[in-house]
Amino acid sequence: MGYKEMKKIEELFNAQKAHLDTIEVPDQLEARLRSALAYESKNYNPQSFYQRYIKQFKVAVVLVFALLVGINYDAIASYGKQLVGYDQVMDVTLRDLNNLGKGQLIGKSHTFANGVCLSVDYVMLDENQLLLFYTVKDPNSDATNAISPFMSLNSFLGKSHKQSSQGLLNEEGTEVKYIASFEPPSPLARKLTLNFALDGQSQGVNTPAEISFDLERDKAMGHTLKKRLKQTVKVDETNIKLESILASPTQTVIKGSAQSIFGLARDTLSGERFRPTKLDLKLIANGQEVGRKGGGVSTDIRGITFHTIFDALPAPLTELKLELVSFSADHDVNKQYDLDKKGEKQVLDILGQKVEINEVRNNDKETFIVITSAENLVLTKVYLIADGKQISLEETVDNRYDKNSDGQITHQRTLRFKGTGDDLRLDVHRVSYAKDYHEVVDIPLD
Amino acid sequence: MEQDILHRIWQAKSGDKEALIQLIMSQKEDYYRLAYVYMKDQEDALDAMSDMIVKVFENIKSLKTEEAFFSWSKTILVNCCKQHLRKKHRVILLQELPEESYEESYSEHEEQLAFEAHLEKLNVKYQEVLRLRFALDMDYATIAKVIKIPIGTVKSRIYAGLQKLQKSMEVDGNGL
Repeated sequence: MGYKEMKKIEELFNAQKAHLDTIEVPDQLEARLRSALAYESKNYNPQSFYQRYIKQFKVAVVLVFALLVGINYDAIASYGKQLVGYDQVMDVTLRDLNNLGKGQLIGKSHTFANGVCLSVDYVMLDENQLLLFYTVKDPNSDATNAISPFMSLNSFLGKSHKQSSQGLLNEEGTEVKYIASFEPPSPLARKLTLNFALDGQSQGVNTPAEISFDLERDKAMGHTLKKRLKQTVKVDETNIKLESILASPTQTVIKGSAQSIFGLARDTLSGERFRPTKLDLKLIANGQEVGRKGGGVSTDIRGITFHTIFDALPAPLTELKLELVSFSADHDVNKQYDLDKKGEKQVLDILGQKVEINEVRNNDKETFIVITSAENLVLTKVYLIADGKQISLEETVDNRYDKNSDGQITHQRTLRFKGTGDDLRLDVHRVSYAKDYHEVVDIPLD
Repeated sequence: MEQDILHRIWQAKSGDKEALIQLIMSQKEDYYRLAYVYMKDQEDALDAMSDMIVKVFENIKSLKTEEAFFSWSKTILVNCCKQHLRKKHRVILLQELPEESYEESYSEHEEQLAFEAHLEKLNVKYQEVLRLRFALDMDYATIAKVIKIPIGTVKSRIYAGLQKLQKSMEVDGNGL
């Protein structure tokens, strides 16, 4: 390596070191260490959430991962929208179905050279999903890491991607029982092949394998309610279209859209784009709320679409309502707000949302801005303009949540910017916030 | 090693938690920045340190030589960080985007960003020694102790790591 190149790399490392040297040890460190040890004395094991679980319940519920695949995958990767759900390995609904024998026993396995074994135990199929029950055993080490999370079910008619999975780890950590949800395969597919691989993280290569089995179509459960919906709910930014409901014995899926691709293009041009971040729907069947299991928002060539997954519907069903509880979106703002350095409290109005500036302080190198807003408001893209120069946000620290007397939760935090000046302005490019609607629509059952 | 430090280590060995906290706090910058190099985030670095102190407390009786306390506990810290990183990897998709958009903030320092990207492309074992050596200014012997590999391996990894880093940056035509 030449002297010049080495010098350059050294310079770059020095810049990293300089950055690291400016990182202050947070004040709460000592308190955190003390409380960690205090927990320890109560025989808790705060080493990790999972380990605590093992001790308390003798099992560890392992949230393996939730993957959106196919056409949604890119959209999710670039928008980072929320996906929630997946609590326990087998919920009440599945347990009931299982008790009724609504599945198909498979009992096929594959053992890799290193002793890792995957066996497909059971399959449940309805119109919403194919549930694959399988076991991973690793006699030597951590079974949660043995198999790559990327797997697919293939038939000659195409591929079903894995949508999510959850597992239960045994006490020794050598065996995990999983239930994975796949897109339902084509109605004509009879023979399915599960393609999977050893997790190649440590070895650097994937060792693929497959297990094939015949699907007994007569065991498939179909649906209990399938309807096109034509309801629209108006929110500030757009009209939310509720498009379909598909209820099957294992789950209920509501699909809809928030913006067409043309609307999206128009908003982008006018600089008034919004990006939905969360859509909170409540499903009420026979007067009772149905448990929410997951969902997601994605943006692709069709525009902005969403789906929400609920538990199966009760039977007999007499009444069904859907409530739009709240809608969150990220909005373009592109406005600058003068900051008063005298320490006066200021309230900024950002697209009708209140953001309180509690304090602006600086030393000769940095500026700290303490702000308070509603819990769900986030300045997603924000800069500081110091004497005309744009400075990007370094980090957000000292987060604090408080509950007001009226039950509202506020979030106070400190934005740290590297740089300062006499004339300070907050340059808000984007803000995301939620708004409550509580709009209820009836879903006709006939 | 200073007498009062040794004294605190003995106290910690006999179960004195406060002494242990003071020991860690006496080198808080070193610990915190070490954790930060791995975690790159305040909250996560604090979590890793909380894990570390519990493990140190549980295992300090097995520490044979008091002089080794700091490097021994830093080894534990590194392992806690790695454990956290593995878990973090698995659940990242479930999280919403946080307010601190690090990418935004770094976009100004494009050169640094590109450098970091190249560094991240390297195998973790090279990244680790390079960061410890250059970003934390640790000497070979300390690195060897903290991540528990022979000193010869530290040297050869740093050398190979630099070579790979340079090569990777050249291929990208970054104007080196």
